[in-house]
Amino acid sequence: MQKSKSWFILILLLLIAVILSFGLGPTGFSLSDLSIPLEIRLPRIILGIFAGGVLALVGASLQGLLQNPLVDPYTLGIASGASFGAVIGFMFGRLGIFTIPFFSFIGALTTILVVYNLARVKGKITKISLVLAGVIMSFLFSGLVMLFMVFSKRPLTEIIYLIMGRLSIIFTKESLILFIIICVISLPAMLYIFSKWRSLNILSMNEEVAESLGVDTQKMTRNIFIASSFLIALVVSFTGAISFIGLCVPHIIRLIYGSDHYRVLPFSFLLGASLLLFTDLVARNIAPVELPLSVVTALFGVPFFIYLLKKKL
Amino acid sequence: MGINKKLKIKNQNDPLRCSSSEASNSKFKNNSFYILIFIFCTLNILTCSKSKKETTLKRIISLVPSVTEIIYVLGKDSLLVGNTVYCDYPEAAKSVYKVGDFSNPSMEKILRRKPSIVFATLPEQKNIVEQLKKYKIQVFTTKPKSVDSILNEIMEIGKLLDAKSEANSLVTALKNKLTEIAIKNPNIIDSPKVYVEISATPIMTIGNLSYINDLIRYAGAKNVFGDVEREYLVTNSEELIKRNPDVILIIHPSVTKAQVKKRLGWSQIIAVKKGRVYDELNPDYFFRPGPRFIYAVQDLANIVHSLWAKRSNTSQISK
Repeated sequence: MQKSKSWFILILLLLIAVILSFGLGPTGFSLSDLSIPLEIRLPRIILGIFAGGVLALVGASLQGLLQNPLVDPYTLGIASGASFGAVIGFMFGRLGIFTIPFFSFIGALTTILVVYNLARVKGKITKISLVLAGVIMSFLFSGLVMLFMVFSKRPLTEIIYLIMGRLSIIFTKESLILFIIICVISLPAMLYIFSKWRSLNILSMNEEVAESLGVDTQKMTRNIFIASSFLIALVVSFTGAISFIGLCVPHIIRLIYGSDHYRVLPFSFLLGASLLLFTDLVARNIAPVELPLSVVTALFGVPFFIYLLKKKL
Repeated sequence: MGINKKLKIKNQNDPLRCSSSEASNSKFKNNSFYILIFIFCTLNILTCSKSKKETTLKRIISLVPSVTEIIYVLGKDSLLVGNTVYCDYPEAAKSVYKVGDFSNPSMEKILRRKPSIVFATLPEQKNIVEQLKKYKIQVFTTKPKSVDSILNEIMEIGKLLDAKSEANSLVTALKNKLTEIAIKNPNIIDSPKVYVEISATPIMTIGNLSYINDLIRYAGAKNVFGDVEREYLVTNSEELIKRNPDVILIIHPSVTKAQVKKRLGWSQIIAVKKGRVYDELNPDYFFRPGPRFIYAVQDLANIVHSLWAKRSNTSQISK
């Protein structure tokens, strides 16, 4: 497939997703009164593009870095650390709309530090120790969340929904501006990951080959891990854990366009963003009841993924 | 992992068994064996006589905070030998033996208190109810779906605990209060629409299968999601703006009314425009289908009545 053509298709897909998300909703759409699309749907669209894109991008970069097709952004324990933080924030109550995102971000950052230090054996980080440290920490934090659920005097359903993925955080004007600033701050981290496509390509051949070709694998592992974790911590603290996108979107891109990271990274971002917008479109238009995003991603994403897999095999 | 654990336990058990069989050979241990039997027998006699004394008195455990409240109002708290960590009203309920929390009460602790009746709620405590039935312990399950069923349950609990007359007077008092409120309710079909928020992330409210729906009705208003056949549901801002409630009740501690008013897009909702967002009501009145439900109805009715008073004033002015 031609490179420019596939860029065009994916950007078009994202545009369609944005337009549909802007136009569709329980209150309908009229050009005379744009307050609802602008105040309620637009913040969700921004959050959706940011979350979906980052999840898929980080999934792709971590799968390439750790050379493990089963890695998703949550494997490294960040989501459960964030959930734990969210539950603690939840206990504080009426401090402000940003209480829960703030605490989950702190939870995620703590997890990153712990995982990173656990994974460093004799000053070196190996892929396997990173994955293991992540898995161990996610067990620990899910255990702690359970502990809180058992001792909490608030309805359990609230905490369960808190941990599940959603784009339904309700913004105020100040918090929306703050969120957009956060998106902008996170841009350098994304650009850094994009810029490492060549090293990821070399690394996917063989670690020794990569080192002999002058790639500092240690430094790269550390930097990509930190950049990815930072991004995921931001996403998780706003949306909770949305499954499927981070794991499967990179695979879908590889199945269609091959595994050159020059394309895999940006294409994953574009497809992840549009997929999450479509998912949210379904989730919030089955109103009055809003579905959890992970349910929709699983129900629609998995059959599509199986189809692609069968076709390529 | 599970298999490993089991193996370990087996290995630990085996040496213990060996040592005990060796020990029984020694004379000293033989003596102690008889002493043990003696102690066992006396203990048995003691406990037997104890249980005979108590057969006439019921021993009850309440796993439901609302039932605990009912038991106290009926004056039968002397029979209460266990409740959950959630049972915090009245104050005295806090010092009762705790058998665990609401969703995971400990079976062992329940059995240790030798209850004759256990009060539980479905479906949350289905597991524990099934286990209790295996032990042939009488279980009373509650799942009130309306104000009527709360009143019925009070009567049934009264019958069970030999407190029929107390239950009767409580139910009459509650019914009187309800009619007292209902008389003040304006007799108009266009009753105000109330949105009850029970969680903020994501926003959750109640449908028509919840008894809270009924509480709203008795207060002379209607649930803005009253057409949804569910107990509770996750919804979103846009749906709520479309439904445009007249009153917003926040009965969870995650946000204040000031924060609700600042939510993007919510300024279009009548309740926000007219400043009818309330966060000061006691959530327990709403969440616990016990005697204090009447305060929920009363508090909400006060809001509704003041609303109607204002409305009739303005319509008189416009006339």
